Amino acid sequence: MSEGLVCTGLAKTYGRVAVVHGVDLSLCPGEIRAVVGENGAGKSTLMKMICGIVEPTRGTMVLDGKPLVLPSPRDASRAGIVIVHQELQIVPALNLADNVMLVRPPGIMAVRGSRAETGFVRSLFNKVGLHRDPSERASSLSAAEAQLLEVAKALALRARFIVFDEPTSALPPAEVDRLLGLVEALRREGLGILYISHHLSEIMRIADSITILRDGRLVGDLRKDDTSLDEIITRMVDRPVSLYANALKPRKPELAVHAKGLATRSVSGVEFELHAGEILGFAGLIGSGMHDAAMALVGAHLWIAGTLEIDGRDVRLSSPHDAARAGIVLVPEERKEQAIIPDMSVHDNLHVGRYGLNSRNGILNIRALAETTQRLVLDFNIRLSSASQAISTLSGGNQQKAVVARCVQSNPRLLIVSEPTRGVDIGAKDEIHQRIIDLAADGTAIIVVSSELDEVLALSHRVAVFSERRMVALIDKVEATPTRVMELATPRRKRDHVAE
Amino acid sequence: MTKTVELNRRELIKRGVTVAIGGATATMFLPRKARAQGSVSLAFVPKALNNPVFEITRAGAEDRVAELEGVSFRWVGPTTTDAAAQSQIIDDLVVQGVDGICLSCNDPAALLPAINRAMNEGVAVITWDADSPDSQRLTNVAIDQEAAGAMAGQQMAARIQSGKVAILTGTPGALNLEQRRDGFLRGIDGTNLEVIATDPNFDDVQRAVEIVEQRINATPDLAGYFFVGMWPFFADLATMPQLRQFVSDGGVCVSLDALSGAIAAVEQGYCSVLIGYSWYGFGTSAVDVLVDYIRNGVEPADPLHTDLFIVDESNIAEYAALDRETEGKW
Amino acid sequence: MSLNEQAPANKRDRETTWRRLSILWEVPELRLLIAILIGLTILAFLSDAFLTGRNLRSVLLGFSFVGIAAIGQLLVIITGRIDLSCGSVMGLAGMVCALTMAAGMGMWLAMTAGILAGAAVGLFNGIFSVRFGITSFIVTLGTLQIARGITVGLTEGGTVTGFPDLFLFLGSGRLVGVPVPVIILIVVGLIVAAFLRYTGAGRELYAIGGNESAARLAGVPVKRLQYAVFVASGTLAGLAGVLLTARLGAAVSNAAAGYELTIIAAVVIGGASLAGGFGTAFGVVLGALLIAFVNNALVLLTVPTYWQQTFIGAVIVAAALLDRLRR
Repeated sequence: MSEGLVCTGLAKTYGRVAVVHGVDLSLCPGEIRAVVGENGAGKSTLMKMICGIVEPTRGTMVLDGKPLVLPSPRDASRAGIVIVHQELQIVPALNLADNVMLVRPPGIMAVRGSRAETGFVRSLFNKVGLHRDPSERASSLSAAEAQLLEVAKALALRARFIVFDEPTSALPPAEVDRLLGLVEALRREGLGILYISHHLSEIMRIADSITILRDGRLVGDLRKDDTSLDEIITRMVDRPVSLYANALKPRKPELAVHAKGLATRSVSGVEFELHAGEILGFAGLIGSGMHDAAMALVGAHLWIAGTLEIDGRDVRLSSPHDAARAGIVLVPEERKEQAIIPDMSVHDNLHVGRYGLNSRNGILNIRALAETTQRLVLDFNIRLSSASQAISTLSGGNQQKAVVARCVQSNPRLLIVSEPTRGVDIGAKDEIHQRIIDLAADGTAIIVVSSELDEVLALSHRVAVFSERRMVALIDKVEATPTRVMELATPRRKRDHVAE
Repeated sequence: MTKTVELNRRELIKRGVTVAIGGATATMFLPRKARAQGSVSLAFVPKALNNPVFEITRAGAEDRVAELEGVSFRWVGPTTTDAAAQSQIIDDLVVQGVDGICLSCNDPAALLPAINRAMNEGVAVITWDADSPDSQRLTNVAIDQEAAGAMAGQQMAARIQSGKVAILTGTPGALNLEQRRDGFLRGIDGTNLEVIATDPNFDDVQRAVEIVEQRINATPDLAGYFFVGMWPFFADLATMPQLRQFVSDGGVCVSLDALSGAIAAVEQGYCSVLIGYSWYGFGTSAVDVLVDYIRNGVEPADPLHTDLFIVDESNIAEYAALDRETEGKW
Repeated sequence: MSLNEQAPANKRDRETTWRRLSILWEVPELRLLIAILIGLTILAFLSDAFLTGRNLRSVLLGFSFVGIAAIGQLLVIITGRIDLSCGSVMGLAGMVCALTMAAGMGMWLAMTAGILAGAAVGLFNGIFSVRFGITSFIVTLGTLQIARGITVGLTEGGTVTGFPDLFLFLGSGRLVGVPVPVIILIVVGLIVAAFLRYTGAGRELYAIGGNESAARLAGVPVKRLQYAVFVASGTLAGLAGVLLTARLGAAVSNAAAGYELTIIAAVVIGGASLAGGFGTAFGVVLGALLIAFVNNALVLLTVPTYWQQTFIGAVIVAAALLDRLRR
């Protein structure tokens, strides 16, 4: 095609890690192309390259037949490619007109507050369906309206191609319809739209074509009319069952954990029975509530409903301290923010929260502490030069091993591990996975929460699937194929059906 | 039936509150002259509420007010020496419609605007102790700070003619303290006395005691010590053995202020001479000045200097007795 | 846990010694101690009176009150909070103690009452900081005013004197040549130092300061410990205030006014970070000592009156800057 954006072989490598491997993508004016893929598939990096935020390591971009080089996002918007971010970029203190004019629309030299400016902004608002006066303060906008403002900004920049990055994640259902209507209207105006979303039902509604990414590679470039939801899901995730399946030992007969109807402000419907030596996986997309469920189980979030029983005893948790006393420990999701005390020594990080194991009447037994540290370092193969070095000087993998070592020290009844191998090198990854399996074999009940589908499915006896802040299913390992889990995890709007 | 009663009660309360608020607001706008003829309301504003010397002035003022008829008295001030807070208090008093204000200024420049505003509103303003000389206040009731310092210098010079002298002061830059120090230097002019140091204690009694101790220790041949104010004597005298030793070895200690602690100091040999003045007298004089002006329009002399007197071994017994009888309020 | 390299023996020995020495240099307290010793040596040269027993005792006595309160403040600062009310608490505790004695109660009861008053303010600080989640800077700024107001109000600005000799002895008397408050400071310092190093709760204070969410998720009873440090700070400030009253033989209503700045400065100079997670009792004592010696130098070297405040401020900034540069 002579008009339009054509990307060929776009790739991005950070250091030695290739995040995107040679992806082709084309977008015509008047076309809505959806871009789908799991977390970590490379969607956002690809978009960053197209919008000039990041420079491609390899590959070419051609716009209307002429080569396109984008050293900066400003160049992209000058070329007519504008992105509507997931995190909205409005300045609440300024009024709406100021917010629009902040992007410095070309061809408009209006004085601030002038009628020309107000008229210009109002016409944009009419186009996107934002029923607000330009002089109103931006802080009064709802999330949906703020998003319309972002689209207005894109139109002010005379965008020819607009990239929508997960636009409906924060919108209530009624607003979703409005946005989809707007996107279709933009298509009629002749704009080309790249629409990134994991709401596959929306995509099936408005997209003309679909680009599917997996592990940074292009695994599908389909016309919507030629495909189905099921095929898309399969292409996104389907792969053979992984290697650990045989290493998992059968669970023990004792019921260790029983959660009934547990709910917090961020997640609800957490319900399961977990036996000693059993590994339960929590799977779902980001924002599905699975991490919130983990935080609830360790007492870090306030419960608003439900009960929890450990070994048949009812436990009320109002803090992680209570949870620790009940035998529940958590390896947190964000290592740097939630798991380690960066400036403290590895030694102290190994003992924080459980100094009681090596002290009498509150006084520390220094020798026992040191011996425990030595034992844990050896046991978990933590690579360091001295246990008194600050934990922040360790590599990610070793830090994670230290966190796991700390949690495991007190022989917990329930060990919850969130994103066990995020930011961890391959070697340490295997070690940690093996450790989890060994712990289960010894009788610890374990919950693995991970956005890496492979990991969850590999390690679990059963899988609890979360979607839109609710636990929606609890399935056995046999049933838990990547495709099935993704089906359950994909959010659905009430009116849409799965079967196509 | 209950419902009607409740409604009535609620209504009553609502109305009562409205009337109260309305009434209070209205009084704010009453012109000063609408008050009963002859009644005078006075407010005294010290530098801070945490300083005991001002309480003596308060006693003097309250006793005098009790003797007069139709005079009301308020004592209000910032908790700590805070010029801005004091300024705000002056403004608030003006709004509340006092007739006369007497204040001891935390800072001459900072209080000037508030004093002038009050004077423009028709409120009679005088200062006591610490002044704001460039403002429109009617007068300053105080000792002649410079003369007091000079008197101290003369007393020192009368006892020793040569040697090293140390000075203890409060907050550097405080106008009255500076004036006293200047006076002292004038008073020892012509002798061979040499001022080797002026140490500030920032109005902290503990620091004052510490400085005195360290200064005396550091200067074995110190001949004289001038206290611009009696801060060390607020502490128990037994905590300053070096000072006692200093005086009994022939050193001369001269201090401003003759409150109970200072009198005890002379009695027990911690101090040689006091330049005294009556804080109680400030109170009575200030009340007289204000009432005279407000009722009879009598313009006071500016400034109004009160008496200074010398307390030393020759008359300490009488002063000690007087101080005990009146519990310091003389 | 040791390095797995094969180096020739001699080189390794030299390297280890050098590394040991440089590790020593890393310890902020030792650097501070060396800086103080250098300063003292210079001061001794400049002033004959400095190294006399009387002068040194005077300095030590003066710094002990700030030191005791600063040790309490250290606990709060380690957890990443701050307690601005310490100066006012010192004044309040001293006044409560004095009034209790003046009302005829025994000396020990009065001292306990004063210290408990400090603990009560600490509890108040704890409740509003922890339970209601108001930032500690604001809460303690408020209690700074409230406590001072109560102190002034209790006697309407007056002073309370007339204490038994035993009380005065506690304030300025000497045991084996060392002023009693200094002995108390040493004892308190040792107890707190041991607590911080040899108990789980003590170490967990550093964890709270280092990363509060991580500490919480790891099972540290964060709220409970936060309450405890505020109460500890109030209690030790109360003790300091009672001793200060004993030293002066008088409870003045503006006692310890403004001391919070010196107290916090002592903690920061001693190596603690206002962001939390660092600091030792020994360092705090050194910090308070440094400030006390600076005050002493101002007198001994007859630094011009108007420049004294600037001088003190400059020393504090310099000391804090030196520590910052290390990080």
